[in-house]
Amino acid sequence: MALKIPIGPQHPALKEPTNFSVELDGEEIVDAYVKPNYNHRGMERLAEEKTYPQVLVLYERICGICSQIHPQCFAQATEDALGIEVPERANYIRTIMCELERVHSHLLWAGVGAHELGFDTGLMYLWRDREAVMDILEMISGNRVNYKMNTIGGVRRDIDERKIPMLLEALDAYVPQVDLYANAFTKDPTLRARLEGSGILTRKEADELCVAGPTARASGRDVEVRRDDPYAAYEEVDFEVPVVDDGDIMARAVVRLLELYQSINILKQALKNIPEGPIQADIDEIPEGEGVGRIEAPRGEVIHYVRSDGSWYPERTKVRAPSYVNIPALIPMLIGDTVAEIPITVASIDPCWSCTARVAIVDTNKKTEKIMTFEEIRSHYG
Amino acid sequence: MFALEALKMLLKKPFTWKYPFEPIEVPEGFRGKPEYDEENCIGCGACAAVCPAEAITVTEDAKVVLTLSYADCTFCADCEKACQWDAITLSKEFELATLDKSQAIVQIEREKNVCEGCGGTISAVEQMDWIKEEISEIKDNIPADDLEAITKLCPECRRDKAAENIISEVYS
Repeated sequence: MALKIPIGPQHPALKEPTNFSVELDGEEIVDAYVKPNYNHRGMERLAEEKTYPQVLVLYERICGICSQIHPQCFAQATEDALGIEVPERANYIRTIMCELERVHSHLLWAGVGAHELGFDTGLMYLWRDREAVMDILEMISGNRVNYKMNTIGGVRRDIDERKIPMLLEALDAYVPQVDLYANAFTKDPTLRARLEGSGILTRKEADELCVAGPTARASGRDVEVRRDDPYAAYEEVDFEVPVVDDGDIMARAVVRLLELYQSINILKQALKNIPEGPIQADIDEIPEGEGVGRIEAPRGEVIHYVRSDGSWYPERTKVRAPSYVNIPALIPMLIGDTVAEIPITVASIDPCWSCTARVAIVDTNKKTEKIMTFEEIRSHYG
Repeated sequence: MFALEALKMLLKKPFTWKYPFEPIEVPEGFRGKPEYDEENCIGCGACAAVCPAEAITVTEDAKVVLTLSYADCTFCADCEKACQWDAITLSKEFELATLDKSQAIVQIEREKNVCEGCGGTISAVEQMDWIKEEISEIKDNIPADDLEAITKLCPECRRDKAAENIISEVYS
């Protein structure tokens, strides 16, 4: 009989509620189960009782890290439903906020990843440098998290022209720091030994599970909403989409580090080319209709759906956050690895449990062909 | 490389602040504790209507009372934006932790106009003054009856009265 180890609901990688159950043969993981539905927050139901601008404040709190992405996505969905044209300057400010959030999220992730590997020096360095981008966010929006920048039809705060040279300077200072971490992650023999070849998600598995974001792009699945379906001002900036085919934890780290360069690049272009003009559209009436917003969050694609019945309150809203599709991918990643690799493998998809627990999860207990063979072998010889 | 950095850091001041032993600076545009300016407030309740967290509530018993609970506030500044009279602004104060719940509540009381029909609330007195001022510009377009009703009856009673008038016109 194989040994089963339950991990969580308070599990070792992130301090959020989910339950893993891994089945072991010696030290090797032969099967894994994920149960993330520990915390129902009832946000979609609550959103139906709030006016559109009030929902922005509520959805800002879906995730502490994506507190620009979620309200912006909801605003985009609402603008789609109500037929509102967002002014150009507001689109640029949204792009800038999105990219700043990506820089902050990826640095945070790299720090957490380093911590899971026992590389706490890396955590201290990365989170120290993350403070600089937090300061920029604070300078633009007034707060470190829950920025409250968005409103239906634009943004609430303008970026002061006098601050732009200061912001560009702060971004330039980031490039050598990112070089340092890229070097540390890809050249250090200890990190390479831990990261290369473990937690593998093949292209086929990635396609089957429809994973999103850096997790998909590290397995050679070339999906990127910013390029495929441009929103805000992404059509007017040039950037590349890093795609790596290896599918291991190192590939996911490399994709995120390369994305940091691209984000800094996008930020510089957006800050230099930001047009003059109003930052909010006028809203005359609320027609009936339905709309969808898509955004590439740091973890993958976020989708918000809004249906309007012409009243002040949305009739129905729906949120799909990227971790929801990425978590089932943990199962093929974990199988074949050892127990010691669980924390870093779990951390490697940059999971955000609070995002996922709003939805009832489907049964992930799907046995792949490989597992059946394992089971068969064990029952035969055991 | 890292050793050099460690030596450099030894000579520098710590990266962290010694908060709460030294004050911390908040940025321009920081959204902290909302504060009422009692002189400007007319008791219209616009702040309560937009508040996403229901931190501001209006009760209309003997007086119109606006209650702001800091424990529920999300510091979104929607109330500041909704207030036409600059009666509520978000200050830079953020140290709001307290053991005494009554410390986390601020109330504004306004005398109210009582409806002559049902004894309910029409509005706060200050709000009625503002309404009268606003109507004075267009009062030639409003029938004298309605003008009087606005100041003496609550919206429900006005609606009932209007319905009564229509019915009596139709059946007379």
